[in-house]
Amino acid sequence: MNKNKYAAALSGRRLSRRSVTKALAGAGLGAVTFGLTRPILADEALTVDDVIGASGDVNVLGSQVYEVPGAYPAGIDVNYAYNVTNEEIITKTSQEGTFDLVKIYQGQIDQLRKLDRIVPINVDLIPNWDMVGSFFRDSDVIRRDGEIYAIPYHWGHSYTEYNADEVDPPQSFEDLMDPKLAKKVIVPDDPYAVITTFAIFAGFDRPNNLTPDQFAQTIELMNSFKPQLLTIHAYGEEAALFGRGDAWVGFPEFSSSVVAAREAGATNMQFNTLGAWSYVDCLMIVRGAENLAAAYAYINSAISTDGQLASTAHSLAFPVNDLAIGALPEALQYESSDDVLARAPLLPGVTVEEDTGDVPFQEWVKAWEQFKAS
Amino acid sequence: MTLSHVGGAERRVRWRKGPLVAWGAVPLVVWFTALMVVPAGILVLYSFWTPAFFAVEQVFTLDNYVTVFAERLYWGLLLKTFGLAFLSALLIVIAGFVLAFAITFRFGVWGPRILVLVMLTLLSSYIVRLYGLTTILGTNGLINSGLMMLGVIDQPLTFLLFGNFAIVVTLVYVYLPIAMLPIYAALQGIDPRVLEASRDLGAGAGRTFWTVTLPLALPGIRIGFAFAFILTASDYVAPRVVGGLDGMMVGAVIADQFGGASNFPLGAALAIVMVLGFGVVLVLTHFVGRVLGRCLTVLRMIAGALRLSRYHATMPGAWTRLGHLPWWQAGSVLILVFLLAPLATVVVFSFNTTSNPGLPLEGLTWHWYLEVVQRDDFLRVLQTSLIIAVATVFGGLVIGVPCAIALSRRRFALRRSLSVFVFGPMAIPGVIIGVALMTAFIFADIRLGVGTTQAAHVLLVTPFIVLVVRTRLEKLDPRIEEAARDLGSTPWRVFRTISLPLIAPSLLGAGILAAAVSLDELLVTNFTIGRNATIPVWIASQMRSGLSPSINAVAVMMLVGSLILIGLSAAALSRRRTVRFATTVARPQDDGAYRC
Repeated sequence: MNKNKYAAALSGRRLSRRSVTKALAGAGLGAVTFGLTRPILADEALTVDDVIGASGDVNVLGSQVYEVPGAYPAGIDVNYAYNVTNEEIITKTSQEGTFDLVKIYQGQIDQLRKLDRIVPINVDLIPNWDMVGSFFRDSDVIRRDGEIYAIPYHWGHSYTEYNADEVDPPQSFEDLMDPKLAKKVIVPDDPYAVITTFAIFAGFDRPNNLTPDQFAQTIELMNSFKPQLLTIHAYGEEAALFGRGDAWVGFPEFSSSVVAAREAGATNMQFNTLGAWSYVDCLMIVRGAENLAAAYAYINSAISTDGQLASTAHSLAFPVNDLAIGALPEALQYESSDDVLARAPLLPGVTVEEDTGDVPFQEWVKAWEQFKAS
Repeated sequence: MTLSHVGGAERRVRWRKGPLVAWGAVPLVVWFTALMVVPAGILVLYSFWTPAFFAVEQVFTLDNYVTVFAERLYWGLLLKTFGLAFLSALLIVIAGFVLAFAITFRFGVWGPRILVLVMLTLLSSYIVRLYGLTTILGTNGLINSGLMMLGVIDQPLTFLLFGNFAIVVTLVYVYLPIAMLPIYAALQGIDPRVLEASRDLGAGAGRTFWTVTLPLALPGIRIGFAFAFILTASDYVAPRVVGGLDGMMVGAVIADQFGGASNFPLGAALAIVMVLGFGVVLVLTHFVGRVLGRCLTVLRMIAGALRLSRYHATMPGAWTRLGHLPWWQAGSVLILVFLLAPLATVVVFSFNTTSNPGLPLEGLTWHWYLEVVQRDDFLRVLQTSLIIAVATVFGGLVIGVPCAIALSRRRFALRRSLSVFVFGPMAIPGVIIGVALMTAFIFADIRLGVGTTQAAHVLLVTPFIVLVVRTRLEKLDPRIEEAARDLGSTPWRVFRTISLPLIAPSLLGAGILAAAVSLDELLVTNFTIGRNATIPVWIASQMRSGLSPSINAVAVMMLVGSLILIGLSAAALSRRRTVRFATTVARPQDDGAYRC
């Protein structure tokens, strides 16, 4: 009741000093009691029948490229909201109950778990679980403490993208240091992606698990590369940068970037697997999800063959269900995911714990800030 | 001197003993306190707490401030940001003055139309206009292509994009229309009889300008400079898009602390130092301006004593003729081209058959428009944006107009403080307002969504509404309202039949400006919108998969929609005025008081 009064006051309908004071007091009290008494939602009581017969709204947060109305389950209204950067997944899930599902790469599982934002997923409630390729199903990157926290949705590998009209295919880091490429190379504004790639260039086998010494060497290598850089771009800007002729080489780029760059006018854009590694975008259930059955139904539909065909054609991201590979444009098609993953290993993500011996992700971000600003 | 001033000492004493705040300003004070002061207070608390992973520990520390001042990274960025913002604000004020002066005194009946053209740039998407600018400045962009086609250069000019030059040019482009408004308002407020008197007393155009027009416009110039400085220093999106490796500004570091860097206390400390920095720079600028003004006065006196000021008499004939050339008009046209070129680029490229953002165009198509209007997700975010904009305009007018009336017509103890307080939302970077509001809403357990975004937008647009309406009110002769009251009208009737019709055009202008700000707002909205999305959030998200001409199409549709709205509103106002005039004239004699 008090909360309603506050909402009314906030919307300007009943704004007076007394009502605002009362509403604020009520809202404060309400917040405290609600926080103390809110039930912990769990899926123990849920059955497959509940999932199949789910209805109502499901609130999803993810990249717009994965918003595929054709792949939604019947009887469920999907309310899709967008994150502009990866990190926004964390800020936007601050309020419990706002979202039921998030779509984000596997590297953020640890961050979201540390903040208690996601819950384990019971794959027995997902009839289409077997349609996910076995490599992803069995992978450790979606598991923590023996439980599955993320359902693979789409995957991809990073690549080095270059304008073949201007440069020869770069085969090594030394090629990228060619003076001809000064101020002609771009990297995305993504600490995880860029530092991981430079760690590979620095020769480290476990580029997500860097000791302080390895990390320092990687950052040093990045700093030495700075004269080559034109700009640090937001994802999506690279196509125009290549199209306008501002940049000739970009890494690590992903997914449909090369196709978009060709459409934007850089018709001879090519890519290779120099410094490549793989990632998998996943569906994760948010703690406090208001419609858990619908969330499971959404996941079930998203990994079905029809769902994967639709979302692959829409996003041009690699499907986790190999039956949907045919939906990719020819330039991006591959024989099997195992082949690609052998050349571009799937990485686990960076720890957020400070006592593992590896440099935690917080330090990665700090180093990235320094790199951008210095 | 108004009639109310004639009351003499007794009335002045009553003013001095008047209330703390006029009733009309109370809603704004309450709203701003709840949505700006309280969240800002939370931010201040954050700055003294200890960072944890995407959270804070409520343990007092000064370490965050020590970090800001001890690490070269942070204070260096602050200095760089303020330096670039100062330079940009200076250029904005100069260009804004040229434009406002020409619109007010040189373009005659074309002035208002040119003002509308300038304001047009605000009615389209900020992000899309930025990318329009990169299409012009890029390696194969319009300028380089044009110069190479003309044989002026062999190689593309690389300094145009990605560097400090591009940052300053872009900031000037983005904020010139907003910062020009107070300058224009100040020039509009100059009584033409003063200029006429100056000329009658023998002063030439130049002397009238330096000794009358410029000093009278100075308050507007100061406000314009403050607007420009704060807005340019707070913007981190434009520098990032066009600045290349130089594009890192302190606003971006603040945003990162609330994002990936997960160091809220450091972000809060940086934000507070930044806002304090605004104050220091603006006070210093004000002080230097006053000193320079006095120096100028002394110089004028010396020149007058030496009879140098009568330069019209001593100038060679060629210089005199030069003085009569239409410099203001020519300068204004160049500035207009600068302002409208990116918008024109957006319009043209929205019809391009491919997503190539450079020349030559490969063909024309309606495809992108059709694609957008058939998308359910776009229609959904459009609907959300419109709902928020309508509520924002209504809320902003309800809060802003009484406050503008109070500031211009009432005397109360905190009037001067309130005049500054009103601009608080403009002085605080959007990302800080967004984060602070999100934190406060979550703290109060208010569901983030359309309602919270409407509340935030009302906060953001109200300063514009107060500025526009107050400027109009101060141009109106308060004796008209006094006369109506003396003739027995109630305050409500005076407002309804005198004040409201007279300020109606400014309400329309303020409403359109508010709608434009609301429809284009991203930084705050992104934090308060919860499970919904607006057009700017949708555009920003869509750009992750590459720029598409459909984004240009959206920007053009926003522009056209705004123009239609302006046209309809103007027509409605004009019709209402005609009907009112007809009915007033037809009324019996006893109602004649309203015709005076």
